[in-house]
Amino acid sequence: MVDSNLEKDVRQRTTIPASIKEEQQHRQTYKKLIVSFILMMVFTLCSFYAVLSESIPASFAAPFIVALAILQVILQLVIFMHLDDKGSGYQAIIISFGLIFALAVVACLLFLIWW
Amino acid sequence: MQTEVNPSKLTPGHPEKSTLEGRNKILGVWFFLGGECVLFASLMGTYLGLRGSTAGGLSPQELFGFELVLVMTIILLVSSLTSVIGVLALQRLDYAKMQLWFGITVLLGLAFLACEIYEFVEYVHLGLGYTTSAFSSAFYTMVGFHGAHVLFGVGWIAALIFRATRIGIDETNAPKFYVASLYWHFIDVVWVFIFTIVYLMGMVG
Repeated sequence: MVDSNLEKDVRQRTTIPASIKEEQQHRQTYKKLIVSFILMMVFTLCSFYAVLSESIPASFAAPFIVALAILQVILQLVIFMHLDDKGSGYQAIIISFGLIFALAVVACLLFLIWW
Repeated sequence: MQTEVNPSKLTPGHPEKSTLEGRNKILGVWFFLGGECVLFASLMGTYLGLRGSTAGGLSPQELFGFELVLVMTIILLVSSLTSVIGVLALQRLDYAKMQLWFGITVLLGLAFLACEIYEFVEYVHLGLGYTTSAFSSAFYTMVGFHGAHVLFGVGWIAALIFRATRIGIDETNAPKFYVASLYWHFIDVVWVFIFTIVYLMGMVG
């Protein structure tokens, strides 16, 4: 009986409700996620609109949608994949190298095929 | 029988980084994702080089419609949001919400796969087989590889959810969920390039 009371006590102490500061932080993170989600949605709809609209010439639409894709990917990497957390330096370096090599691979393949 | 938070060492904040093993796991997955960038880049480069080689078959402009692609894009974007909300719940050690949001992510992933299968079946009916032209081979390989990644992600997250019903959130489990959500976001990153470069630029011509 005493033991079970003790256990209950320990359990209660380990699940302290979040403090006010933590609660504020949580709300801020939540807000950040929702705002970046809305931005990504807007980017997506803009690129569909740019392609489907008759009034926008293809010569403008192609680089425009690629720029929007890059912006969206940056948001995804930094906000959703938590690269803005403290101590994410190595992660950022690793993925940057991955992207640089990816660009090099695409460039080389196109050079080989079209040359 | 424990289906709640295992209180041993965890405090709200960053349970996924509470052990060295967890931190190493996260770093390892980032290495893996860096490698995946190059894998998808080689498929994308091949597709871009060969997309004009239709060998008299259907061309991208004749093939692609925007409706299904828009639906698939929105499904995957929303699933990316639900998985990051799942991670937020994980960081607050909120077991029930974490399971709920990752569960929604799995369902959205399945919906995406259903759309993609429907799309491929439709294209085959239109007469674009895997070996019809260099364009069709490159297209099916590129988009199919992405679909296979979605399928793997769905299985992965579903297995984690199933496993967590027995053990709840603990210091071993937390990095597993975190890392699976990183992978899921990466799938969305790849899809952003696919819908922009393959589909939208295919429609522009």
